[in-house]
Amino acid sequence: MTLKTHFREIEGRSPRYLLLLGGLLVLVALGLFAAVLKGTYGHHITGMNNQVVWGLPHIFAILLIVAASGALNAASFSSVFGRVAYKPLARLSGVLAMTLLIGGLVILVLDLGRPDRLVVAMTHYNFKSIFAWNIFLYTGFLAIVAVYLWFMIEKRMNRYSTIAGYTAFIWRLVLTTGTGSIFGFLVAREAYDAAILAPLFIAMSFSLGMAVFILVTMAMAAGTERPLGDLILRRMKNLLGIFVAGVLYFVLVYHLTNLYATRLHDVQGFILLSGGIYTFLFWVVQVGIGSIVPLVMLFHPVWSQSRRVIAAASGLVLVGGFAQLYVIVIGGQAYPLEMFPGYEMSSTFYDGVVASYTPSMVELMLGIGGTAFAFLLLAVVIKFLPILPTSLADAQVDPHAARSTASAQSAAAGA
Amino acid sequence: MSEENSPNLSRRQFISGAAAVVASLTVAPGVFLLKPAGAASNADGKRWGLLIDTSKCADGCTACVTACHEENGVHSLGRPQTDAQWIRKVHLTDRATGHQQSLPVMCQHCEHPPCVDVCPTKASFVRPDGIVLVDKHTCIGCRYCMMACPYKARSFIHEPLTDQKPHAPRGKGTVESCTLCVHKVDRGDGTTACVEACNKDGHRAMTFGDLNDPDSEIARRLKEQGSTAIRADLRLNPAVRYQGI
Amino acid sequence: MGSGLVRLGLLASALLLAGLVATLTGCSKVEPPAPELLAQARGDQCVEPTDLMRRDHMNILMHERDEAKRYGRRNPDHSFVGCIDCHVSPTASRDEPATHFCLACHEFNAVRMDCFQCHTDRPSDAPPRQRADLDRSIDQYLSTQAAGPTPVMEIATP
Repeated sequence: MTLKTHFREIEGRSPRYLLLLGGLLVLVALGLFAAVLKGTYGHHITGMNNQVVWGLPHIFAILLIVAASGALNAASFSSVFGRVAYKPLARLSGVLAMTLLIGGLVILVLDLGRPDRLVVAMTHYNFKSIFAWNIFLYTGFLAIVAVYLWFMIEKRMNRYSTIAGYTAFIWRLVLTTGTGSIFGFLVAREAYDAAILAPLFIAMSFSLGMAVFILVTMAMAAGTERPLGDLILRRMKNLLGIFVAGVLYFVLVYHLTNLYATRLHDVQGFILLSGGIYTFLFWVVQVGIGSIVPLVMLFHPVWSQSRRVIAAASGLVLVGGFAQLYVIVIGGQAYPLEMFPGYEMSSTFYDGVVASYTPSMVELMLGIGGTAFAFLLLAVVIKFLPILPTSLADAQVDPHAARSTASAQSAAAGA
Repeated sequence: MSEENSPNLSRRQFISGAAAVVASLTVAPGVFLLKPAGAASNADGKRWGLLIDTSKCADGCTACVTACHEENGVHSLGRPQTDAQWIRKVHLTDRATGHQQSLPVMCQHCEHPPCVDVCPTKASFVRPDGIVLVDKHTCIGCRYCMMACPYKARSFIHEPLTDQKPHAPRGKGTVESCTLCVHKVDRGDGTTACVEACNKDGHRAMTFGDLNDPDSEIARRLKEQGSTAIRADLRLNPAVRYQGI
Repeated sequence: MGSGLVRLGLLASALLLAGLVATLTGCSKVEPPAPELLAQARGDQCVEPTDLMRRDHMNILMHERDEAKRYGRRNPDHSFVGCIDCHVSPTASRDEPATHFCLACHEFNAVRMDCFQCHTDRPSDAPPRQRADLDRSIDQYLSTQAAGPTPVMEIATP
């Protein structure tokens, strides 16, 4: 049996907390400033152009949205898969999922050509558009997770939290399928147009969400000086390793299927061999630094005992995920459309040439501003609502396992 | 801007016709009836299209491009990466044989346009006469249509504009593309700026017409001589057809 | 939990209130448009009675906009271009609302509209006022550049 978990708001008066709030506010303000600049001068001040129409803001937004659905992992493990060890983290998991999603959506909206017409997007629906589906998937996710959180926090509703947890779990799978399908359904572009992008995005959501969640949990424990045992951390890092391997598997299958089709050899050659920055990002950052290195770190018998290594591995997974999205989003657009197979093509409109894209400061500010907004919301919510557990010590998480590890250790010490 | 319908004015009271004498009757302050007298749209039952004979399209000639951009007020703002282009000349070289040719490419006005499928707000739409347009009143500037278009036909307006042509509204933050000179079509000109320019230069590489009218020149030539579509494998059934590629 | 929610709510409403106050104090007094700056309408009479137009011009434009745009059923009497051609002075500008028939009134009544972000703000016969260096077509621009855009990177061809 598990000891009763207590949740408590943080006091929120320490200089460290105020400094965190202040820093995040500055970043949010920078993001808003970028949005105003873009609204005034138009998108030509960004690196985006008529060839690469989605840029850095979309990478930030997709990263946040995908990580949001993955951040719900801990809650799902406790409610859906009955892993009681995750129960103390379920509330944080739900709140983080909501704030990350909101941060991602804010970036997407502020990057629209006409953000002032958001109400048009809410009133005119084309039900054949995956974007329109996603509007429902995102708002639905926020609503469902909010209810789920309420059921978890409010004692009288506790008994319904399993049902809410199941709904949220299924919804987050559908949501990530929707995000992947934004690209998967684009028949015109060689790099997209693949059904496997949906499961690939789901796998990415598991790994990126877990990585963010591990980092947030460790930061919260350190910042609030509440105990965090090795047990829960070890479980999470093992899962992270499995998820990272899962992403690699889907990436492998995606490229293998495409390599089999002759008509896709050129685009695959571009990403895998001759694409310059995209090839570098794919092999070195996504596969090397973002997948293989963290896998070694997470499963190495000695290194993986260190919290710093776990934190570093989580960070690297996020860097790898960013690179992966960069390759998918920008690389897929930079490769020219093959309108006339078998022909060399040239024109004044950049047909037949690899499009150039240089991310601008404005886009970076917008992306970072949205990310900061997500964490600002999180920081505010944990001050006012009982989200964080008072303790994540081993005895709290799983007394049974804690006792056996302790006795094993003392036995080893004695021997 | 208010998008709501006035309670005073129902939609049914308000349908009126093109180029028709409109009689209006004020029933009460703010309530009135408009009666179109025998209105027929120029769009009924037609499907406008272009036939482009690449063998007649001269390499290096950009008359159609200049005429289109002149007609619709599409100006360069000195930034080629973000400048809009509604039509461009594409130069092709066969990788296997080295055969060269050039041809104009613009919005292909598909019957099943991917841009319309993906548009979240229905701003991309097909008119009943087959012309694919962007409704800039509802375009939110998400650029998903540009991702979806197999022809790279669309441009996003990256900066504020002034001095648009009255018949071709264009503005920052929305997406645009070839309108098949919809203002000329609706006026009954029976041609487009690019076709006019090509004929004026004596190349006669482009033909405009109604694909649904079996007696039109374009329909007859398509039937007799055959044609291809760009990316025919996608089965979008474009209204712009090519000969010679 | 209850008190936490209450405090969160209080914080949010305080922020909203602060925003509202900041917006209101930022407003300045608006002068009514001076009629002498506005050009006279060029036709004999408007296409509809004046009181009807004052009340319902937005509805007429809005309804017939969709008809014209989506179905090509254009009504020359109620066309947006027609309004501008007849009412707006050739020297008016969206940047100086006092000179502009539509914008002067909209500004005075604080009714925001975004028509002129896309539609031209001046009649068809107004002289162009574009900067000379920008008043050229794309192919003209590109012909001044050496051989058009340069490929950033050649695509590997097997």
